[in-house]
Amino acid sequence: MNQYHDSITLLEEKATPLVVESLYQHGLLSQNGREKGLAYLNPHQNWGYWISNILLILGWVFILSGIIYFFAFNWHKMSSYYKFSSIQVLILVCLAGAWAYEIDNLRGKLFLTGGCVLIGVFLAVFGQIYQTGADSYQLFLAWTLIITPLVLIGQFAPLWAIWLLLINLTVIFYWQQDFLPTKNHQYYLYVILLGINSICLMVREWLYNRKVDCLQGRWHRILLCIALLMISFIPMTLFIMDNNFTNPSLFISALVGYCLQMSFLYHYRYYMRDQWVFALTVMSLSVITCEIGYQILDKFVKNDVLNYLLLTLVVLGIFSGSAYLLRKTSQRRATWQVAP
Amino acid sequence: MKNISVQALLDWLENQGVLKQRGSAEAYLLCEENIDHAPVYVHMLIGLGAFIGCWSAIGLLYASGLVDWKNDLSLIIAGVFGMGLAILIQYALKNSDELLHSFSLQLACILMMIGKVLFVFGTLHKLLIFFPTIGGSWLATLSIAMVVIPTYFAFPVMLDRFISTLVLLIALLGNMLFEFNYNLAFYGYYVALLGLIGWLLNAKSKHYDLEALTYASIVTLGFCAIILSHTESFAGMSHIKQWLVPPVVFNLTLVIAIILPCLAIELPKPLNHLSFWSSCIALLILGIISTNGIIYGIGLLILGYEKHRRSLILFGAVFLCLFIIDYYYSLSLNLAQKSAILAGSGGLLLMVRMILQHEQWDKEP
Repeated sequence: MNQYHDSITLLEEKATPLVVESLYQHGLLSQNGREKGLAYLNPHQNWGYWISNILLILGWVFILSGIIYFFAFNWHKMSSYYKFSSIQVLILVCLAGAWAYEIDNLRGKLFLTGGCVLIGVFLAVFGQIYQTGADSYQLFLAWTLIITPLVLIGQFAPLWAIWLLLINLTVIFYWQQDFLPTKNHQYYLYVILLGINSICLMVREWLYNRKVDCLQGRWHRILLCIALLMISFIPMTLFIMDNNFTNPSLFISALVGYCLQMSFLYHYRYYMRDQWVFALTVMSLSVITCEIGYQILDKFVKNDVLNYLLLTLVVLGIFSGSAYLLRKTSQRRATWQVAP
Repeated sequence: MKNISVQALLDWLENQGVLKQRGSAEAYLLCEENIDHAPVYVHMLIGLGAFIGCWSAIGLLYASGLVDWKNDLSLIIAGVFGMGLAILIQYALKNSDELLHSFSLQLACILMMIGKVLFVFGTLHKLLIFFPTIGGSWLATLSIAMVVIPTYFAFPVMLDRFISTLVLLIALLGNMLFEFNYNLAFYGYYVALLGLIGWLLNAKSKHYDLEALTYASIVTLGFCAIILSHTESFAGMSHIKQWLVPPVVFNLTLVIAIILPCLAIELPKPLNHLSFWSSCIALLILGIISTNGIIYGIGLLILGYEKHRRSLILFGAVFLCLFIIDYYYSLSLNLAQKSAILAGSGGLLLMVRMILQHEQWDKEP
């Protein structure tokens, strides 16, 4: 229950790590006091469990990276037969591991993720050996399609992230290697990428609201939103800095990007409160507004001194205003809770 | 997490002897105006604004001719003036209302950044005239130190402190790496940096003021890890003729630096010595077979968890991901060797986990 009343006393207020951090920042606690306070509130009873999970995840990541590096090395002394059979055996081992450990378990999920990554390695080696001449997007498309059922079964957020990355790569390579857009259409790529990733974000939020377990973490939202903000930022910046109204694809992609960022502002401020996403959007829009200010001044103010003076003031005004907005909306105290 | 009141927490901290000013703490917590409404993202925003504003203000100085760029003294005076004004604004308006405070903080950061840039350029040119025999890069580091050290204490803005100390530490790193024929100086710097981080993370009486230095030192250690995986590329750029201290010694030094604080960790009962020591031995083996970036990432994860610093855990995880991608392109080893290092490291970690499982030390609480 997130409640705050003006009359609340320290006896009623619940102690959180934020209280300890706040005292440390204000110089009322030393580092020793901070650590003792945090350890008191949140004792590390589960060192063994935590270390065990970290070892498992890192061990898997390093082994998979090692396998990818090995096949990228393309060892000539290893025949095609051994290359294929070794990858296939590894895929089978991973899938068997996922089945044996069950995919509700972290070990099972990691085995499944390993299997999905190795399918991509297999396809890459296939293209390498047979010199299929296929475009890169075909590799990523095949990879995405093959692993889709496994991703659906796995219900594992990092696996979904890999799947989404593969879709994005497929679209980008298809656009560059096969679609070959004209100059007037080239920026529609951003609209497509924004569309795909926005749909994924909406589905994620919908499932989050329906309390789907694997999507209750916050990191997927922040990662997706950062990706969307970056994709939308590029056409907006290009549109403003080029000052080009003749290219419809640039105008439309910038407009879509702008609408998306505005919807983020509203959605994550009033509807589904997430201060980090809101802050990142404010940062992006602040830079965009500075770019607009720069272009306007560049067009209408011909005196360099006045131009730079006004630009400095514009930057100062925009960022001060944004900082004020973020401070007002952060309401740190509101996150403090009432003790039982 | 324990479900207790703030009052109970303050009682406990006082009984432990770590809360000396109980009255001030209570007054501080009760008065909402004291609560800092500037989370990390506000600092990031202000930093971004200061960076853009600094460049446009430098453009203004250049266009207006207010500063004579060929006159060192003019640059130094303008720099000192900018920094002085920034400090004045920061202190004068730090208790103003939120809108004015946001404006004054942004303005102060821009002025401080411009002041520092102008001062460093002016001082460097002046020092080059006075000490023509000393290398320019050493004098540049000296100029940076001359401005960073006093302003660290005079201008208490976390972001400015972090960026400034990071620049100073990287400038020093550049000197150690590029100005010597052998890498002994670089190794000395590395050991000193580890010592500094060890002290900053473990000093009981350390206060919040030194947090920026702590994080700047940790980030610089990350740069060192990247340099150590690109020894071939850096050997071409620097004067280093021979790596007298091989990268494996750097790795082992880092491993020892991680193990030492681990010995002091108060592990929950029941203690399992086999699990603990096998983890330490695995870290040592990792130091021999693996690469510095991997050990650094693992070290951050362990320290972040132990010290209740989620930022370190996050940084460690992101660093590891980026490092594995960067490692692919390093020229020091071929892909087969790098593959063996990665797979070997992974295998070793999984073996340690098996020991933990065997000893039933990994049970979920």
